[in-house]
Amino acid sequence: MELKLGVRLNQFNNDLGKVFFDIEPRISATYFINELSQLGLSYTQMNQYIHGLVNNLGGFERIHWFASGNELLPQCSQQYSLSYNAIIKKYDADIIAEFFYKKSHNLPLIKKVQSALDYQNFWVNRFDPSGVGYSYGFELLLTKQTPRFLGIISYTYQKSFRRFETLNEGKWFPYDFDRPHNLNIQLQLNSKKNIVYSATFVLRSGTPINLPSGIATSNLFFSYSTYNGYNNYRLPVYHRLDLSVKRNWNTSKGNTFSFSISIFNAYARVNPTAVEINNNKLKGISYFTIIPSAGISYKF
Amino acid sequence: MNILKHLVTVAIISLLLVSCEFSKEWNYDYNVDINKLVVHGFFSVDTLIVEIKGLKHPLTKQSIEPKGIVAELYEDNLLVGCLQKLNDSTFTEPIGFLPVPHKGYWLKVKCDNFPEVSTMKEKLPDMTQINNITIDTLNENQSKLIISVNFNDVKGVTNFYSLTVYEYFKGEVLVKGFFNQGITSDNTFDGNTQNWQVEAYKWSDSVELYLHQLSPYFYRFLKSIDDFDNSASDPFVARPAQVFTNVVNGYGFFGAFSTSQKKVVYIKNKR
Repeated sequence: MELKLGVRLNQFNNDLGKVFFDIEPRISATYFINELSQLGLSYTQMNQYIHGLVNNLGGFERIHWFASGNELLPQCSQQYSLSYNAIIKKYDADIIAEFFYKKSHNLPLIKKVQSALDYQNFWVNRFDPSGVGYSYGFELLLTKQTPRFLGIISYTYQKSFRRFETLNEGKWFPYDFDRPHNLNIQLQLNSKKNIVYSATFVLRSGTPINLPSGIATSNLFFSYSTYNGYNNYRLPVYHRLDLSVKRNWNTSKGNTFSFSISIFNAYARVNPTAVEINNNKLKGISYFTIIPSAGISYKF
Repeated sequence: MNILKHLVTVAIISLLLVSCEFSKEWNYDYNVDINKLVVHGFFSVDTLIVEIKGLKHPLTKQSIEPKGIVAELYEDNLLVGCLQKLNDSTFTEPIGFLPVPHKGYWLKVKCDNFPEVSTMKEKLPDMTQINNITIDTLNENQSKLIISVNFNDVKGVTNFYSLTVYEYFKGEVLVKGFFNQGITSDNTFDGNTQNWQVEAYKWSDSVELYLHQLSPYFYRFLKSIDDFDNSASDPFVARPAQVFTNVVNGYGFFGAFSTSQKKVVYIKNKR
């Protein structure tokens, strides 16, 4: 049995003279079941002083960074986890399973501008810092490694929700990170001829997005879109396969020259990052389908 | 063995090529509220207007026409009567209807091909009178003048206001529409005297001014419409603002307003 206690002291000063000081305790306990397996329990508290607020314009995600201040308080979160690690000797494999729960507060949201013409006060009263959130799930990681082969399979199931006073009538909604299923498979084979073949397959649930549930028309007021909840729709499942081959040559001086060919998204899957309305149908917008590439490197 | 290797390689490459896709469309299969009614309505001392329509499909822009609409007006829990039909989608107050202050009014709408909807209760707000009106600027070099509308806010109660201004030039109205000067709440001037400034062309013949006090639901609806419009054009806002509704099982709103007596400023006389 092993018990670790720790504490981290943070101080953050912003340009306007605002000072934040926080204490972040952390604790972890590990119980060694036998020589090859162990059970872990941990608690971590974290503060984040720089806020990255994301929006999606035409399929391109944009992140706006803001420092904590009077309006934007540091994001604070607590994470609890229970994990199990084991080595399966018979198959030269490691297995890690972990359950986690994370809750956060002081999560910010950008509100609409009070007056688009008032540039001096463009960022005044633009934030709703009332956000609270939680996420939970489990992760499974299986690794097998031999001199000629590396295989990694990881699967994560996770749900993520947030609530803001000024959004969705203060009700909880699935947040942008709410992509329940995430599967990654990585295989690498080293041949005897100094050739490395590798393949990576990625599959994850589609990102939640907002789509109107209808259009309300009126002769008394102008028309507007209606929504039956935030993030009420999910983009199609994202998946792709990346392939690469790399050949290494050892020079007489002991240096290494290598040539590689790789294909990103080998089967040219259209993974939309946004949708648009086209001919009365939803059309996915995808900027990257298949991307072949080649490269050389010389290590000396 | 070599032949088998080549065959497998060719098969893998062929499968990859076959599975390639370079564009894709999806059917609109998420939860669209095409079977919901949209009710927009409001009342004042002498008017009740309600508009009832079906929600339009967000892609096809088509809607189902509601059939056999029966809109009932209730005073607290008592049925006042059925609304009178003006045209296919517009209704007005039952015969003899006069709203009573401090009573709650709400609607129940039934129709043959939509689920029943009801609105939340709304009361007639108190009437606020305009104290006086002043013209602040009469500058020869400026084309517009500023008119200040002065009124007293009641302390300790959250009040919501709007202003309608009609400018007349040679008998024609220059600026149309009800509540055309926006809305405000008394958050910043609770219990104080407020000056609401509006602009008018100085070549106008006259300007008519109406001060309205809005019910809370009416204010929330107008505010959310404004937010919705602004959020669509704000590149920093990640999510569209939702328009407020107090219609249960549908969309829209039912609100109330009171209007002060009309005040008229004759610009010609000031020039």
